Amino acid sequence: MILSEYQSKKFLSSFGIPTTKEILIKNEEELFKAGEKIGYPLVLKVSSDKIIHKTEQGLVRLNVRREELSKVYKEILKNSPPEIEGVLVQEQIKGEREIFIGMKRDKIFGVCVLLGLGGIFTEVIKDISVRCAPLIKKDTFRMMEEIKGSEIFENIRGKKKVNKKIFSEIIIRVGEVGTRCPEIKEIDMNPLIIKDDGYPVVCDAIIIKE
Amino acid sequence: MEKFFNPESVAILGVSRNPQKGGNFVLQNLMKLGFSGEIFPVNPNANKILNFKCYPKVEDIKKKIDLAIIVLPPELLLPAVKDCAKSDVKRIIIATYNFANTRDAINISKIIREKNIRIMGPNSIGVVNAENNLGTAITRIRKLKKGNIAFFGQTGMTITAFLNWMTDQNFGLSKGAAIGNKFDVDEIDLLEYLRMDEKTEVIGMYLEDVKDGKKFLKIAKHTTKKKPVVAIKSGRTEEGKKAALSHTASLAGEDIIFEGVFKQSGIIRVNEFDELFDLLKGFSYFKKLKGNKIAVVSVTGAGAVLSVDEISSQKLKMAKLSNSTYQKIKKLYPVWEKNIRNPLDIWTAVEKNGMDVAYGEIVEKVMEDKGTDAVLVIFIPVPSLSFNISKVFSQIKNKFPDKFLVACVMGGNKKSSEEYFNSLEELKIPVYLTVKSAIRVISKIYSWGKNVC
Repeated sequence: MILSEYQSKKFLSSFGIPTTKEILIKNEEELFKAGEKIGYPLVLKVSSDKIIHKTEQGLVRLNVRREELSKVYKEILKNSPPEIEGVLVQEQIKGEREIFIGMKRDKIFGVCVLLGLGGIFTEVIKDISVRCAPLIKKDTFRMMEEIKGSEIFENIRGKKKVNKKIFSEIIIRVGEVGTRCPEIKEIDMNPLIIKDDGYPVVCDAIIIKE
Repeated sequence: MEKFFNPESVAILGVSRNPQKGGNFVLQNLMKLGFSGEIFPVNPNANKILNFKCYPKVEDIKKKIDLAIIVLPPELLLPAVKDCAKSDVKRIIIATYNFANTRDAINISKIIREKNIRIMGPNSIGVVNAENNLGTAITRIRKLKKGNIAFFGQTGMTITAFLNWMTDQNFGLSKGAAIGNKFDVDEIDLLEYLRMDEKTEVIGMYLEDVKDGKKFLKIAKHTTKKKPVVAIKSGRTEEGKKAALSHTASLAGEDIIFEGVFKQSGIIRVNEFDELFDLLKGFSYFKKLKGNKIAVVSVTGAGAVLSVDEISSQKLKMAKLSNSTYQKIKKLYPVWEKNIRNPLDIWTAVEKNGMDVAYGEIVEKVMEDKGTDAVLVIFIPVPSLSFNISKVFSQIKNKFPDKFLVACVMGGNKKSSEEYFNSLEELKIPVYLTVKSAIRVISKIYSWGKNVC
C-alpha cells in the first residue's frame, strides 16, 4: 500500500521534517484561493496513491503563474486518471541542490537510512551512503562526507552551505520514523532541495506500507 | 570462547590409525606443535594411537575434558555429541562438513542448549593459539609464531592462507579460528572474545555473511573502539534489478548496506587479501598515528612524484617542513641542487655523501621536524652502492620510537630486495612493495585512530 505525496508529506512533517507548503484541492472553486495563499510562481501536481511516476505522465507543472493557473489546472486534469485524491497547489522551492534520503527495512540489519544525490541523478549515479538506525549525529556527518558529491553540502556557486545541524536531524528522524512505525516498509524523499539560504525542504516523498 | 583456545585437556573423536586421515592429523598437529595440555584420542577400535592411550568413548576417560574435536562421518555426529554431553564436555569443534540431516541438527541444537554447550562448526578446522601451541586442524599446520595479530574466517582455506603468509613475515599471531558453518559459534562470539584477549592487538577477519545484524553492529562498534578490525567481506552478486517502486528499493542492495554497516561500526573493509595482510602488518607494528602530515624521502624521483598523487587521493597531507629542517638538509645536497622540498628526492645527496649518510641524516632531520606525523622512505636496492641499512635505521628507530616510519622497496632483483626487506622488518619498520600500498596503510591507520577518539 502506498501513501500519496500529500499523505506522505503530512506524515513526515508530523515528525518535524520540513516539507513544502501545500494545499490539496478537490475542485476548481478552491483553486484560486489556494493559489493566493501559496504564492506565485507555484507548482501544480496531481495527487494520488496510485500514481508514482508523475512527471513522465504530464501530471506535474512547475513555474505556474497566476494568469495561467486555471489553464494549467485543466491541462493536468486532462492527463490524469479519473480516480485521484485531488490536485496539490504547492510552493515552488528555489534551489538547484537536490538530495535523496530514503529508509529501508533490511532483513538482517533492520531500519537503514540512505543518503545520496537526488533528482534524476539518483538512479544514474547511485552515489549513496547508508547507516543503520538508531543513527547518531556522528553517523549523519560522516554520511555527508562520504558521498562523492559531498561538495553539494558546502558553499557552491554562491549558495549558502546547507544547515548541517538541521540536515543531520532530518536524517536521524527518518530513522526514527522507521523504527517507531513497523508498518512502514520504505520511505523515499526525493528531492529534498537545499534552498539558497541553506535550509532543506522535502519537495516530494512517498511512503510505502506493508 | 576461552576454553576453545585454552583447554587444559582435549579429546579427539575420530582418530584412526591411518596417518592419512583427518582425525590422525589433529593428533599429529597437537603433538608436533607442542600442545601443553592433555590429549585423549577416542576410537572404539584401537587401544593406542601414536603412543597415546585410546578410549572407546569420552565417557570412559573419567577426567574433565575441556574441549572435544569431532572428526567423524555425519551419521555419527549425534551419538558423538550425546557422548560429550554426558561427559560434561562444554566446548566442541566439529570438523565434519555437515550434519547428516535436519533432524539430527535439531536434536543437537536441543542438547547444546540444555547443557550450555558451545559448538564451533560444522565444517570447522577449529582454532590455533600461539600461546599454548594449540592447533586443532585436520590439515597440517606449520610452527606457530607468537605475535599480536588474530585472524578468523569461515573457511579453513583462509586460515591456511593466513598462516602461510605469516611464515614469510617478521611477526606472529596470537590466535586464529575457522568458524565453519556457524551453526552455533559465530563472528560475534569471536569479536567479543578477541576484544578482551590481552595477546591480541589487531583483528583480521574474512566474512561471508552475518546472521544477527543488529548484534553484529553493536559488538563490532564496541570492539573497534579498543582494537583495529580489518575485514574482507565477500560480496554477493546483486539480484537482477527488479522493477522497483522506489529509489530506495532499487538502490539498497545487500552490499551497499554492508558497506554502510562497516563504516558505521568502524571496521576497516578491504577488498583483497593482499590489502588485508598489508594492513594487519601495519597495525601490528604501529597503531597510534595522531596526524595526517606525511613526509617522503625517496632515492627515486618517480617514487617521490607517485607519492604526491597517492597522498592526495588517500586524503592525507604533505607535511610542510620547517625552514630550519630545510637548512639542515640543504647541507647534504650539492650546492647547485635547487629541488629540495617535500617529497624529498635524495639521489644527488646520495651521490655526494653515500647511502648511509644521505638516508641517515635526511630521514633523521625529517623525523625530528614537528610538522611530520609519518615518514615514508622509498628505496630501490642498488647492490653496487654500499648501504649499512640495518645500522642506519636502527639508530633512527631508537631515536624516534613514537613516529610512524614506513618503507617502500621498489624494484631490484629478488635477492637484493629481500635483504632490504628483512633488515627493515626486523626493526619493525613495515615494508611495502608499492607506494600505493604503503600510503593506503598510513591512511587507514590514521582513519582508525581518528574514529576511536
